[in-house]
Amino acid sequence: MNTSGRPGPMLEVTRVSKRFGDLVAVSDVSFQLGAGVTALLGPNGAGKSTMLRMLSGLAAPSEGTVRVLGGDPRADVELRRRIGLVPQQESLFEHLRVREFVRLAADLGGIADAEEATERAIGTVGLDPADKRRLSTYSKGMRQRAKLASAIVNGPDVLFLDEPLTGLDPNQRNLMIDLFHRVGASGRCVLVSSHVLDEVQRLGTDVLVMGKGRLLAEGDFRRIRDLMDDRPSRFRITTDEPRALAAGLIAEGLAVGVEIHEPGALTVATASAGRFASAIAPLARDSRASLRELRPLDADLESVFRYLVEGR
Amino acid sequence: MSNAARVFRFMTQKLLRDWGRVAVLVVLAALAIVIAVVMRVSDGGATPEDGAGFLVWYGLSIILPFGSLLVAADAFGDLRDERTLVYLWLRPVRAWSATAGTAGAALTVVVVLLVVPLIIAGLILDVPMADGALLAAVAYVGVFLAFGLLLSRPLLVGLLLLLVWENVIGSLSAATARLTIRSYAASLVVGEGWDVGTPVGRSFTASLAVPLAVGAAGLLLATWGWRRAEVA
Repeated sequence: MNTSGRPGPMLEVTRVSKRFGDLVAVSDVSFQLGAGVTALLGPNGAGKSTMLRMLSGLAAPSEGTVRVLGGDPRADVELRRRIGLVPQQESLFEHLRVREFVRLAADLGGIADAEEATERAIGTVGLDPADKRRLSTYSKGMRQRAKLASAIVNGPDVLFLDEPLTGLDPNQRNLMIDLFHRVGASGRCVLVSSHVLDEVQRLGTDVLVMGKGRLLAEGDFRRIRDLMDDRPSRFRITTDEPRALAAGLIAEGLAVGVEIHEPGALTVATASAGRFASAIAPLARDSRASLRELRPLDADLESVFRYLVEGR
Repeated sequence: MSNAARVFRFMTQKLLRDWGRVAVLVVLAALAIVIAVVMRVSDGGATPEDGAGFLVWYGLSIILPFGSLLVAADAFGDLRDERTLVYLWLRPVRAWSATAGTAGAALTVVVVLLVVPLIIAGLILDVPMADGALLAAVAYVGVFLAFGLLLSRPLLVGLLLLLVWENVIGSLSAATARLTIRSYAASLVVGEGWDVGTPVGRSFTASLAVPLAVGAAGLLLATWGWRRAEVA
């Protein structure tokens, strides 16, 4: 839903560019997002943080338009009530306690029951609202969670998180990822930036991939992989008759390359993953080979990322 | 409580948490009182004109402008340098609420730490410091608050402004002195015909209006700067 109450994209980015002098940080990027969790993926320097800053209104695009919930996040002060941001930087108001830090955000956000909202937000991220220590004494992971509590205290409809899992231990990461999914599932738009593929893969399948300031791909990364027609898909097959199966695959034109690299295992490169998937079982039967394992090797996000960002 | 009041409370606490800066300002202000006492009890006692000369030089030319610079330029400047401005800017806080609250906080700190001691020193030396010191504080806080938001090196630029503009250019002639805040503040402090080493003689109305206008202009500039700030 946008501000007018009608269903529609919650984020609309149209031909947005951002320049800092001669440096082009973001170049001609367009996309739309609705509710749910989307990962903003890209290497360091890809323009992810700049994009999040523009989406949250902290920076103005040099060209193009950014619409959040139908409004301009930079000009519309009231819209900020519905936007939460976890910035990348570690810095906090060091002299405050976590309760004071989150309460300040709640008060400035005009929340009716700021005290209760503060306790709830701090509890949600697994910190102690009664903690008397100042934020200056907090570990990196605790600081991340304090920032997240501050971002969610006003129940934003749109939540931007810039590398939010940095510094968290595995258990905390799991908790945070669960939280993002819960927020996304409640009809809110959650955009999480990361350069760590493993993290992104756990955030879900919807991605925006950025590299060198440009949007390289968007959507379900598995579908993006399928669209990479110019690159063969690779499968690993474990069988009792690898040589016979390899010969059959080549003879049928199902493989553009076969590698037998250990007894009983082969890697097959195919130009048509769909045709391969439907033909492999009959072919194995005809070749008197029993299939023990059939596993796609590059249907994962890393493969998409390598292809789009690194060109390999 | 309004957002301006919340920002005021937060910024006042933050400014007072910088113990080093507070200590320096307290010592400098205490020194004004100590010197005033010494001048008062010295042989024959200092005349009000002597006292005004000291307070215009030490109070209005040194500790008040430089102290205001340290406090007001750092109010937003610190948040920008620490990259914590985002936590205020991203909230639904109107620009004027943010800048008025912050200006109020900086002015409160300057008044408590510097203006009040100067008024006390003035009472000891029979010099009416209140109006001049307070109005100078308003003007300097407004200007330096804007510097903190708009300039990448607000302390350096502020220092240059005070040294070159307020002190050198302001001392060249009575005409150029009209361009300095110090001249208007000092005009409220000195009596008829006193020589305090600073060109004075501004009218009462101008001495009230110009510092207030400069302070208001600084606040407007800061508000504009808040709106157009690119926050990291």
